[in-house]
This record gives sequence, C-alpha cells and structure tokens, in this order.
Amino acid sequence: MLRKVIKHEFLNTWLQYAVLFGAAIFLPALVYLATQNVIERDQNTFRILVAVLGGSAVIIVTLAWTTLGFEKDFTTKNAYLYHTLPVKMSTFMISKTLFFIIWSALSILFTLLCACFSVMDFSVFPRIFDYIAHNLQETDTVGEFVMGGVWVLRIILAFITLYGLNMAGYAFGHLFGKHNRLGEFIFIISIIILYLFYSYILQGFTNTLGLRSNAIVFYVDFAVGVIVTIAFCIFAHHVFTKKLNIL
Amino acid sequence: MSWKFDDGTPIYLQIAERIRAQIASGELPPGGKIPTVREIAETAGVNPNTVQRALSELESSALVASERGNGGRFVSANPDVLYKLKHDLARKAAFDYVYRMSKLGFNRSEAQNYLTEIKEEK
Amino acid sequence: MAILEAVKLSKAYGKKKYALEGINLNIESGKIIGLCGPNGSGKTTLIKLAAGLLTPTGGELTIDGKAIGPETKAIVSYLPDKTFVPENMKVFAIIDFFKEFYADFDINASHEMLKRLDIDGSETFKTLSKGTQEKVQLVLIMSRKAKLYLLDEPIGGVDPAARDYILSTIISNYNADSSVIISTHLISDIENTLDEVIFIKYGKLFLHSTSDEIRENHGMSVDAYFREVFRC
Repeated sequence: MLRKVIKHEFLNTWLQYAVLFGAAIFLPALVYLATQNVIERDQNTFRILVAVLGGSAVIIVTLAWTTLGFEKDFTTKNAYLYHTLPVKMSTFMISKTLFFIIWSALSILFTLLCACFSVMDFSVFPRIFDYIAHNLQETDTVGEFVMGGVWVLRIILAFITLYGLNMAGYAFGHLFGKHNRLGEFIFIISIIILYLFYSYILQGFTNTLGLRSNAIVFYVDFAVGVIVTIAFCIFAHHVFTKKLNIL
Repeated sequence: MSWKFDDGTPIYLQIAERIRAQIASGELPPGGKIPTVREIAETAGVNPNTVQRALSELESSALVASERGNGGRFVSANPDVLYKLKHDLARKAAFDYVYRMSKLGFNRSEAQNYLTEIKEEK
Repeated sequence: MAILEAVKLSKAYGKKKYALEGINLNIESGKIIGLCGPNGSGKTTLIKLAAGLLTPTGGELTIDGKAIGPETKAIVSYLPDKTFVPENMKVFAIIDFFKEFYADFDINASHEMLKRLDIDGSETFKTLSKGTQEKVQLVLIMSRKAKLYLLDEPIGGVDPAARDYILSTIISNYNADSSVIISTHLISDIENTLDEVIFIKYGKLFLHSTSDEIRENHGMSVDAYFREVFRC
C-alpha cells in the first residue's frame, strides 16, 4: 500500500513543483539576460532583488504546499476519499513526511540555483563541496566521525520534526471541531514558546558546563529531538484514528 | 417499469397472487419454466428475498416446483392442481361480483339476471 | 454471520449533544435495508461511523466481526451524499484510482455502467452536471464487490429515470454475501426493494423490522407507517 500511496502522492504533486522549480531558474535567467545592457548599479539591484524574492518565494511556496497538503487530504477537501481508503493512517503519514523531506530539500537546492541564475555565478556549489570535503578531512577521531554522522541525521530529523509538528498541529486543532484553526494556532504557538524556553535552558547548560561537555549536550539535544518527533507522530496518529470526526 | 403494489398486504403475498393469476390464465403454461428470482425481482422492482418468499409460498401449495438437477422453477403440470387453482380463482371472482352487486342493492337473483343479460359483448 | 453489529453505540458532540444514543443493531448478510428517519435523526452519523469517518464516543461497532479500520474499509463501499471525487480528476482517472486501492473493484462493470448512463469518462469531474457527478459516484461505489454498501440518500437529487436505474442496479447487484443499507426519507420510492427497515428517532433506535411485518402488523405501507411514527 505504501508504494501505491507514494505513487499517487507523486502523480498528484510533481507538476506544480516542476513549474515552481522551473520558474525558479528560468525567470532569474530571463532577468539576467534582460538586464545585460543596464548600468551595473541597477543591474545588481535587479538581479539581487530577483535572487532574494525568487529564492524566498520558492521556499515559502514549497512550505505552504507541503503543510497545507496534509490538511487538504485529511481534514478538508479530500477527507471523505482518503479516510475511506483501506490504507492505514500511518502509511499516509509516512508518505506525506517523505515528500515533505524531498520537496523541501529540492526547494533549498532551487533557492540556491535561483540565486545563482540571477547573477550567473555558480561558485557557491564548489565552495559547499570544499567545505564538506574539508570537514571530512578534519575528522580524526571516531567520536568526531560519529558526531558528524549524527549531524546529518539531525538535519533529516529536523525535517521530520517540522512535519510532525505540522501533523500534530492539525491533530490538536481537529479536537476542537469547528474551532480547529484556533486549536492549530494555540498548539503551534505553545510549541514555539516551549522550544524557545528549551533553547534558552540548553544554551545555559552549554555555557556553564564548558567546551568539553559540548558533546553531551549535543547528544541530549538530539535525543530530545527524537522523542519530541515521536511524540508528535503518535499524537497525530491517535487523533486521526481514534478521535476522527470528519463532518 | 416496476409493478404496483397495495399498501396493506405484504408484497410477497401480492407477488404470489400475481403469479397465480398468470398460471391460471395460461400466461405461464403448465410444465413451463418460471423466470428466475433475479429476473422477477428486476422486472418487479422488488427485493429478491421477497420474490424468493413468494415462490416458496407457491411451492408449498404445489403450484410451482423446482426440478431436481434442473435449475429453475417450473409450473406444475398436474391437472388437478391447475383445476383447483382455476376454480378457486373463479369462486373468488364470483363472490366478489355478488358482494359488489349487493352493495349496489341488487340481490342474488337480480345479480344472476344481469349475467344472462350481458351477452358476449366483446 | 452479522455483517454489522452495534452494541450500545453512541456518538456525542461535546458533552451533551448526542447524535446517536445506545444503538443496538444486528444486520445480516444478504439484506437490503432502509435506514429511515427525519433529517438530523442520526442516519448519516450511523453510516459515517460504519464507514470510518467518525469514531464512536461510546459502545462498539464491528463490521464482519472486525473493528473499524483498513480491513473493514476494504469490504465497505460508502456513497456519501456529497461529492468526494477530487474535482480536477477525469472520470477514467478516479476509476483507475479505485481499481488500484480496492481489490474488489470491477473495472469492466464500471466502464459498462458509464456507457449505459451515457457518461464520457474523459471528462473532468468538475465539468459534469451535479446529477452526472452523482451518477459517477454511484458507479464507483456499485462497481465494488463489497460486503456492505452504505448509500446515504442516493436517490434524493437524481431524476426519476436515474432513480429507477439506481434501484435496479441495487437489485441486480444483490447477492447473499453482501448487504445494502440505504439511508433515505423518500421511502415510497424504495419500499419494494427493502427486506428490512430501521427507524431512527432523535438518535435512538425506534424500530428494526422487516417490511412484511410492518405491513402485516399495521396494515399499511412502510411509507405510511413512517409518516405516522414521525408525524410532526
């Protein structure tokens, strides 16, 4: 079933992202060509403007599509269709999260490309590769190696945590019935406030414990992230299976 | 498209009535095949279970039988059964006639006279 | 074997408003059942609970002995009284979608039904008239060889010819392994096709009997009896 769900999710969404990402490199390139004969000061203004606006647009639109896509399929427009399919809710959640990671990662890539195409300067890519290669070279101890690996995991986890937050937000809102937007809002705001507190406390620990215990704080933070992510997913799953009310 | 039914009696009895009338008039000939439950249900616009019940009713009075080994149901070829059916229905028609005439104020001999008066007006 | 069993099934919204209260129901295979009651009586709530769109607040509901979930959704075919097909999908596309997710979907039957109803499968759903959209949804639901069909007001907004077609499809689809629950308040139209009727009044089960029994015991049609029971 997961394969079918993934296939359909892809078929339903690929085109809009193709257009978005295509425009993200096509439009800046157009602007670049159009501003070839403009004086340099204005030329830079235009191109940087396009890079910034274009890049932001790609990220914002991708974020909007991926987060709202969950709502569209499971609480509003297509809820009748999806909730009556013989598919487990967990399968749907996995698919949506997977595509969030893919589309978000691509959006970051295309934001970079958008900026590059605006000024026809692609040197940022070799620089990134050098940075990674340099860091890999600098890794001597096993401990550092593991930490590097965990860093990569942390980045992936961050995506999952974000989408878990999205699903949990919708789940919390769903419990409020008609006032679901209020519920979603309360949930997200609360989590943000809690996260700020948490960061503050964590920063405090890092400062007081000193450099040597940075590793401990790092791993604790990672563990907290994993636990919170699992909690979000379990909560969302529980609401959408045991407390479902599609009206 | 669908058959019309009375409100007061169960539908299965009315279906049985209707088939009985079809047998009596020869529309469903003796020894002949009867449409399947599904066919009758679709024509009549009625639940197949209801049709089943009607046919069971007819089976219990031996008007209809399902031949062993041969799918489907058949009208009885037994002349006694058919004779009884025709005369039961005729008797009922006669009673109805007399009853309706009495409601109009005609007694039985007056009702009978009416019958002889009406020649074969086709 | 009961295809649907409800034990003290209740559904409340908030602390006090009960849409359904203490429903005890046992539905056997091979039946066509009418679910009748005035608007707001709880018919749709009961159907949506069986379909898995709502979760009970009390009691139990099982389909073919199993709790509501992907396993029951695989054998339940639900026709809501609103549109559920994504509006930008072509008719053929939603049919293929159903074929892919429902093992019991008969794609040949669906194409035949489209032809019979004179519907062009290459049309986009949102361009179809409301009546045609309802017919497409009916085709999707009736092309499944499900054990339980839940039809919520299937004949309400359709023209009389389509109404006849819907009823004759229900009759011809009939088999001893499946049951059909039709929720409606247009009883006279479907009365002849019903084995049993369920009356729901103010969220409670008022009656569950065969249509024959109602005619025998009350000497009137189910429609007439309904009007008596639910007289304003």
